[in-house]
Amino acid sequence: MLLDRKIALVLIVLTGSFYSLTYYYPRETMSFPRFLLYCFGILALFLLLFPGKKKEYDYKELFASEKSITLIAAVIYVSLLHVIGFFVTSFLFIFLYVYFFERRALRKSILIAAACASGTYIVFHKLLSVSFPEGFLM
Amino acid sequence: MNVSLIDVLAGVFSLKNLFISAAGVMVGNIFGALPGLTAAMGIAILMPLTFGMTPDSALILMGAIFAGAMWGGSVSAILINTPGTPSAAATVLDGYPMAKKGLAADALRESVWSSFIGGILGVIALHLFAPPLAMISLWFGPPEYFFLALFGMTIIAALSEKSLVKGFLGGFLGLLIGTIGMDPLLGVPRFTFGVTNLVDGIELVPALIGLFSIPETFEMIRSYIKKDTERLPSLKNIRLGFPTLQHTIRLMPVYIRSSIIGIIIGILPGAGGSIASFMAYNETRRVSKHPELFGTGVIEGVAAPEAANNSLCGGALIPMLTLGIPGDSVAAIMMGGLMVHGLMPGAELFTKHAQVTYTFIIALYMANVFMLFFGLYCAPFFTVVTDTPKHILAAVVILLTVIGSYAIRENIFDVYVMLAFGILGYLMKAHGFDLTPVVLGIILGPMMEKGLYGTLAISEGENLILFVLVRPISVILILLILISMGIPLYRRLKRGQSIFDRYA
Repeated sequence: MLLDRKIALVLIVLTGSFYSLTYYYPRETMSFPRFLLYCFGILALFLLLFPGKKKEYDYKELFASEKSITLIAAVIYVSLLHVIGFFVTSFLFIFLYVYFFERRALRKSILIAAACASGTYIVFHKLLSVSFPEGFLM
Repeated sequence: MNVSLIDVLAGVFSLKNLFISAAGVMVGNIFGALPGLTAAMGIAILMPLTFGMTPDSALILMGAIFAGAMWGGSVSAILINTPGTPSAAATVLDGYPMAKKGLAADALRESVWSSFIGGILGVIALHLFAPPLAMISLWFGPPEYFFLALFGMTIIAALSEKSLVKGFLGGFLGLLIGTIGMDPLLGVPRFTFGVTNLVDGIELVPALIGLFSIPETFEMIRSYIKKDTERLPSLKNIRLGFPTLQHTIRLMPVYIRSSIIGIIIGILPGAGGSIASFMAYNETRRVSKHPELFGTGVIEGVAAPEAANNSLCGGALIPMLTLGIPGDSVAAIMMGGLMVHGLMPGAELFTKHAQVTYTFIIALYMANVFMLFFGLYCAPFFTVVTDTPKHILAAVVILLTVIGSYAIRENIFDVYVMLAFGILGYLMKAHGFDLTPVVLGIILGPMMEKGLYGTLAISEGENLILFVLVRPISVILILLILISMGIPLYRRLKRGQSIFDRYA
């Protein structure tokens, strides 16, 4: 099946799901969202009926291991910010991330992580008084 | 409110603001020159820097990055055939052939000079047209805001040359995202799924940071994986200097024509630098005595797109500052920054906050001067920065996006929003969706809904069509909507294309 048709089917299912959700709210508040969902559904139907020519997408490239690791690392980093604290979490994130890509260059990774975490902490928190998430460590 | 010229000039020429303007231009140059980094991204991730600044300094920094990045993209376009920003896409057509002929210095000099002239003309347009337009915005009522938002959405028809349906899908997705939160009629939370943080809706700035920065981060990783080792060649031996007066006079028609195109495209909501630069390039080629030479390395082929993409900066700020409709994705991010500092687009910016606004506008002139100086004399610096490995850049970008998202409300939820929108943006881009319509939808959705309900309320049961048609501004906007929908459809039919999508 053409790629656009797959996208269109997903969008139609999502439109239907959200439309069914609108019945849980007062009718007056849902007039505008329902109108938007109608239009969204019609456009998804157009995409189903008049797709582009692309047959497949290279999902291996979309979710290549390096990209997946970046995504997972970013999610874990954000999740731990409020638990551990900005400075330590940022240092660990950059250290492990660079260490992974630099093929285990330990000293370089530590230096880069220390420079980035310290630099942003000093510039943003100390000089510009921007608040950072706090945890049980710094 | 009377604005004191002395106070404005004192603000513009204060050491602090001069430093901020210069630094912003330099950062913008770097973001523009590095393929994969964009002006929108630069402003998005450096926005936390502005939180501790005064509103005028914050605007000056963002405007300087905008101006700097618009030129910066031409550096990689000319030297390695890769536009650093989408707005430099047309510069590649003649810039790279010039570099191949050994005329890289001439091409770079021309790109700086035409960017400077275009930038100045753009700021003049902003200076002249924004204040009266801001006053006209006082006549806007709910019907006008509804049609204005609708006009902004219909521009998607003009923008989505590649995929009209996907453009509108993105736009409607943005509108739907805009309905999350408190309903304007009854104050009932919609689509919050019990999450308290969503009651006020999706915070705009983290969403924009996520949409513009995270997909580019993955793009950096992609080029790391593919070992894209294309780097800017050394510029150490390249000496640029001012062009001659004779040269400037000869090319002045190109500069003026292209700048006007850039300003007009900039004013159109959502239209970006790439459209302006290509239109200016095509027009210059069309009126040239030797159109067949375009593409082989002619100076006019560099001058036209560069003048257009820098004049667009001023143009894009006109609707953003006066009506709250961003003329460009960068202006959308700047609007977010404006609101973080408690400034709302509209007439108030030119009355109650006139001091701040005029300081910003005058400072944009200085930003263009700095851009000229850095472009002509600091070009060798670029290769130092462009040698930074992509994976380190990616880590730093993620760090800065986290800071930028958290610092707005000191709420970790905004960081989750940023990440979610980043993943959404990445998946959408990968499947051929443009992100600008999504941004437009998020910004214009609430305006459209409030305008619609307000119109229904004030019409008090009158015939709605008649009620709207007696309002002249509404009529003008309806005509603009019909024109903006009709022209791209007419062009497609004339080219024999289907009005529905088929693309390779």
